[in-house]
Amino acid sequence: MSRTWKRLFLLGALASAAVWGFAREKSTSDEPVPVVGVRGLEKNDEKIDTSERDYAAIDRLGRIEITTTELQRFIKEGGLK
Amino acid sequence: MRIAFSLLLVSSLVIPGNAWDWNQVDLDKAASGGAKLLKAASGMKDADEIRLGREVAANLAARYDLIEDQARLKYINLVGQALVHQSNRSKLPFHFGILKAPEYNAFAAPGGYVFITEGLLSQLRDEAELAGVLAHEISHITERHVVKAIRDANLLGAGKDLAAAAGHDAEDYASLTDFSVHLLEKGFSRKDELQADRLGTELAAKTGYDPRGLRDSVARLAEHQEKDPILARFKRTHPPTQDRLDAINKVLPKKLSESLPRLPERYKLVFANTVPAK
Repeated sequence: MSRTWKRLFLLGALASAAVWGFAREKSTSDEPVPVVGVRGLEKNDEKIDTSERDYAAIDRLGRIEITTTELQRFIKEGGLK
Repeated sequence: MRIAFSLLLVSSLVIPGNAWDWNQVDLDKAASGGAKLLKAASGMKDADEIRLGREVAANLAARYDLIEDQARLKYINLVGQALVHQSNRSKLPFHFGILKAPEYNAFAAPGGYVFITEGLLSQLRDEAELAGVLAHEISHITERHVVKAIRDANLLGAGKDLAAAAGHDAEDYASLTDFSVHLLEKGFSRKDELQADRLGTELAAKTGYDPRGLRDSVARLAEHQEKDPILARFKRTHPPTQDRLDAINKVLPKKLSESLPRLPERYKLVFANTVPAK
């Protein structure tokens, strides 16, 4: 990539980020803080172990198969759309 | 903070050319940083969202254990897929699981992973109520509420995290998963929860269910609210009941037929003997 193209790309990225920054500020200023210091966090003494994983259980869940025929029959029998 | 950052960026664009010597700038590094920031602004690709969701789902499965009863899993996946079929992310591979937990709650991880607790299932009366709860969770995913929360947390931090997710950087990816797990446990913003109530009710109606299902389940849980300690967690992760009922009532049609599908028989056939895990 030539230096001119790199300069144009960098300017474009900076301009987009600036516009996005203004838009986000406007759209979220009236909302409660949604995340870091989330609601309830300070009242909750429970420690959550975020490092635990059971991939095998998720793989088994992924093997639950619903065929199109089964789904259509389920929808029809229930009077759904 | 964001305005200040934006002003800094804008000012950098209008500085006279001689005030910023381009020859001193490592353009490769700068272009790479700009690309990451753009990636943060535009969100996450479905493949990356699914990968993050799998991490979060595997964490929930490890901490709560999943119910393996095939008949129950098949049933909630049929109800879930009927709803997804009518949603605006019908191409996303959704999975519906049951957590072995006595509390009354449901969770939506990014990328199409939805979980409901055995405790909540024991409190529902028919398929329309189950559909309402699942539709609420599906709406968190169709609206990408986790991704939005990550982005809202901090512009540069989120930029780094989202870019790391797309780039599969293991260390940064773990921090992104930590953030998402905590978000699910503590609850989305009030605005996102009420939006999921509205959209979930509409999605259930579009699928043909009696759209009062979610409202009825929320109202019943509220009846127990003051005397049941098991509802403490539910209260912590959701807005006050009256706010939720108001949001749902706003999208319910004024006149509703009493013959819309509630399907209590179909629900009870599968969950009649559901006792919350201790």
